Amino acid sequence: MQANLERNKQNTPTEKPKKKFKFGSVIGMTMIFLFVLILIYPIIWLLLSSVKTPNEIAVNPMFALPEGLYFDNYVTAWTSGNMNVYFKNSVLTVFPALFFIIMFGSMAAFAIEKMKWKLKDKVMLLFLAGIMIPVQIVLLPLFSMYFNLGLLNNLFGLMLIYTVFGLPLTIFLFVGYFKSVPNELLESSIMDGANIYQFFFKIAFPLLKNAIVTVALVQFFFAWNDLIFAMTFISDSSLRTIQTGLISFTGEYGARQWGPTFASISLAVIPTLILYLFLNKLVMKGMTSGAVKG
Amino acid sequence: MHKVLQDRKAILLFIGPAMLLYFLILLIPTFWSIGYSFFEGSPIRGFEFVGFSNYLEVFSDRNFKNSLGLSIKYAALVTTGQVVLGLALALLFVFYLKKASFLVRTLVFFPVILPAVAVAEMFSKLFEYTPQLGLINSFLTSVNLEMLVQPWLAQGDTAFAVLVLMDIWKSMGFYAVILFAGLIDIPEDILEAAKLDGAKGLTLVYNIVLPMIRPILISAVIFSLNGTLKVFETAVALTGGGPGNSTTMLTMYMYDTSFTYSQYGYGSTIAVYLLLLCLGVTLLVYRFARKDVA
Amino acid sequence: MKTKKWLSLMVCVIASLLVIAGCSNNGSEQSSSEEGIESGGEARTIKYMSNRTENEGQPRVVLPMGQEYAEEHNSDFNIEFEVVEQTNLTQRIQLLASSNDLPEMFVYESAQPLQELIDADLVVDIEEAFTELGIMDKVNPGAVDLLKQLSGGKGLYAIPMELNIEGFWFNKELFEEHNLEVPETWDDLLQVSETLHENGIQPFAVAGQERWPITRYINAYATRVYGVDAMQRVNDGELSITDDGFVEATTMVQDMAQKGYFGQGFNAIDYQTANDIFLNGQAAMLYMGSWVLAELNDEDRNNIGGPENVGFFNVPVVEGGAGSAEDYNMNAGLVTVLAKDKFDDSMKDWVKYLYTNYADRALADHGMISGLMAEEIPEDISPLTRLVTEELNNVQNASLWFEAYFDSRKNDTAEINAQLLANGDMTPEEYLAELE
Repeated sequence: MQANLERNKQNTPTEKPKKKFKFGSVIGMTMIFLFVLILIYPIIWLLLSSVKTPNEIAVNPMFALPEGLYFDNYVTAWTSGNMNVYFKNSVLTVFPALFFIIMFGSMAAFAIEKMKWKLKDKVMLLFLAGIMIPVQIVLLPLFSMYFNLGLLNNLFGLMLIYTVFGLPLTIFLFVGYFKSVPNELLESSIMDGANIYQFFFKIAFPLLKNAIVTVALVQFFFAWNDLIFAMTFISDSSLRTIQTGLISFTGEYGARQWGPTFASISLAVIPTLILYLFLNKLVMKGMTSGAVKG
Repeated sequence: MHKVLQDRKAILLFIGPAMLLYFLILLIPTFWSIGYSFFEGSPIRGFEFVGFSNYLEVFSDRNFKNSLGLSIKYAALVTTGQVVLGLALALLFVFYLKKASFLVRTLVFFPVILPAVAVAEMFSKLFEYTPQLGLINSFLTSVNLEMLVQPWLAQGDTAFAVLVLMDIWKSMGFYAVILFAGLIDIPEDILEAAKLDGAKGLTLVYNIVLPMIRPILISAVIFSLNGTLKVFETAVALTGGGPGNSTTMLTMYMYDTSFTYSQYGYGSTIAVYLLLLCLGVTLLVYRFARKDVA
Repeated sequence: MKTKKWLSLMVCVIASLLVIAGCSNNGSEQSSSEEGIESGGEARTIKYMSNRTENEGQPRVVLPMGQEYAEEHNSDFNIEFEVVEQTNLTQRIQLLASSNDLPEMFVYESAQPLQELIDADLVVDIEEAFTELGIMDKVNPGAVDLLKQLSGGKGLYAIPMELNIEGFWFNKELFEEHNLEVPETWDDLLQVSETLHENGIQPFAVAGQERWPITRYINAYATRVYGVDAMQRVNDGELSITDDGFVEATTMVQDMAQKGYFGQGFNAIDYQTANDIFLNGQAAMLYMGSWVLAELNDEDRNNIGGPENVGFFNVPVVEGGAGSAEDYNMNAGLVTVLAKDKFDDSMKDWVKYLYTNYADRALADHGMISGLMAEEIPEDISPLTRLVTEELNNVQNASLWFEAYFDSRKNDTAEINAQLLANGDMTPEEYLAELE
């Protein structure tokens, strides 16, 4: 109670100077700058570490600057690490999965939220239950199924898994977003002669754009960082994804070649960052213009 | 109107693809594994029906109780951290940085993209004690806080704390972006009206902003809880469950039981308990959220 | 306006996704059709699964030999090589076993997991097979003995492609600097440690994060008290794990850790870091198996004067104990096994070719010591490798490591709690009681 009062007292006076004096915002900006620095420091550190010699990594402090540019790590990563192949495999699995997650997820969410049928609440609950299922539980049965279907060591099979494990959350989020689409919109366009498919693809789906951005982002990083499925269902080294490629640097007694590992991580992260920066710009533009127009 | 919305063919077309894949790849394997929980054995040794004895065994299994406790503690701490800090960041974007937030928003998202293996490695170097002091310990030394210098990852309590910190750090950007998407959907005029009524600072946030983004906030909490209760990769990569079993969460215990101790039936039982835990927690949040509205 | 932009963006994204998806289909079709051509006719492709890549460990010997074999004997012979991370090995083999699709040849965990494969009749009896092929004399008898111990007396089911002795590696220069002698008794070892510790040198580099390096110390002491068969007798019920000797051993390890002999924060030190601590002169001794030769011989990493400056001594004796200095702790690493249902004539021919020549090739090309007999020891191998080869000849009796007879659950308990024991969070009595 007392603490509350005090906080309120303190709050009111400190609020105002922030807006009036530039000094306050300079401090604020410095704080934010420091904060951001802490956040992106790992990437800088990663890049620096990737050009250190094995000896430097072992002996020098982890935060020392590299003594020179030791690009052998990248050579090792590229040749024996096969990062180029792993990257391609990850892209070929994750992006089609994203496409299906968004298509199937939005269609299902539309049927659940906007259409009228008896079982829709039960179906929704069924999908929601999927959020709670620990992935480890499906490994053995799914492995047997995939073995019999010949889907082991198959990127398409892995893509299907990513799609399915992305669906519950996607549907959950899309249903929430569809709630905010007014029913009058649906009614009036149907009065105008549109059929349900036209309404979905031309009006409802485009309205989801903020949600699609969010969902795509979430699902991308789930699938991109997945280790357990890729490890279980892919064993052919030419079909490995980035994450499984990364851990194959660990040796028998826990030995690890740090230099090439850092180089591989850099190779894995840099294209992602560029892709993200590029998409993010488009995405954020869409988001803010959407926000301005309400 | 109703005819269009009750069109069975359309409903089937919309929900069909998602439902079919979901059944084949997620539900059937899950029930298959639940079936295994009534058996004892492994694919190599063969299975033997034991009824409910696996379900009773957990009550006398100290390791199970230990990892259950850790999972709950972990989920509570990390979810709080992720959502509270994510919300703070989102508010910072919208109300303080405004249009300038683009860069910060982008940078804050960086840790989310980094592979768990890479992040874990970085944190183990940050909190390093031997052979060289890591950044944290060096910093403590330089500000004359030598008594706090310690082998963070070699002690149960501190290793757990570092793991919590790492997961919060890695995912708060994710929640910040999700909540940001919710915040920019709040109509500007509502905020203006509230400001005219004299609401500002925390009062504005608490009375106006939070209720407006309530659905998305609840989704964030549920998603975070379900993610952290099932934490696997980050913990495996940072501590491998140690030292001792001070960071062995339920998922790791389950994985070990199934595949290392080759007690697949008992492992499935642990997974079922985990599933029930997630289900219970989610329902609890829903209940709580609904009550709060009323 | 903005909707249009958005739509065109979406169209672009979807179109590009479809293109990518199309490419991926093409890609997989192509590769499968290529495979179809290769495997046409009477080709024999065997699957070989290892935890090391083609440039490391055993695969770097086996794979080139596979190619030579194909050139010389069977042009349709082909090895499909697969790398599996060690922590994922038992999971993958279980999954493959459940689908009746074990690889022809694979590495596996030697103790309980192997015994399960034997019980399920999934792997080849090596003694029988090698005798039939006439290459049983290629296997080191000591290794046979060791592997039979590992299978719990069920027979020889694993090929010892690796054979290690364990003991203390030490930094000769540091020992000379402080006038230290190679310790012969455990008391000497403590004396040496104390001297080093007083002079600010960490006595032992211990990879506590990997857990097993800690239990190695318990085993080392216990085998000197009860003799090489200490853990076997526990397994047979002749000894109890809570007997005085084991209490003494665990207390000893806890004391050594608490005195700081293992360094601070050893529970967070991984294998590689521990080796580097030793190889940079920050610690004077390292208990490790001879697999560590690869690191000790590595000029880039060995900063203490190369392999010449590294010495080796066996676990010192405990006064009044039953163990002798001729007893070694040994280890066969991950063992290699052969799937029974795929052991056909072409497999037999390949196995005969491989193991007739493996030992010499491994030693000559990479200085790797195996449990198979080499015809000759090359002149130019590193002094340390030579030393280990000679020590291997000294072996009178061998014991396995501490957890070797435990089932995998107890194995984990022993290793996990060892960290707590060394940390001082658990008493020796509590530690042993959990293993009863």
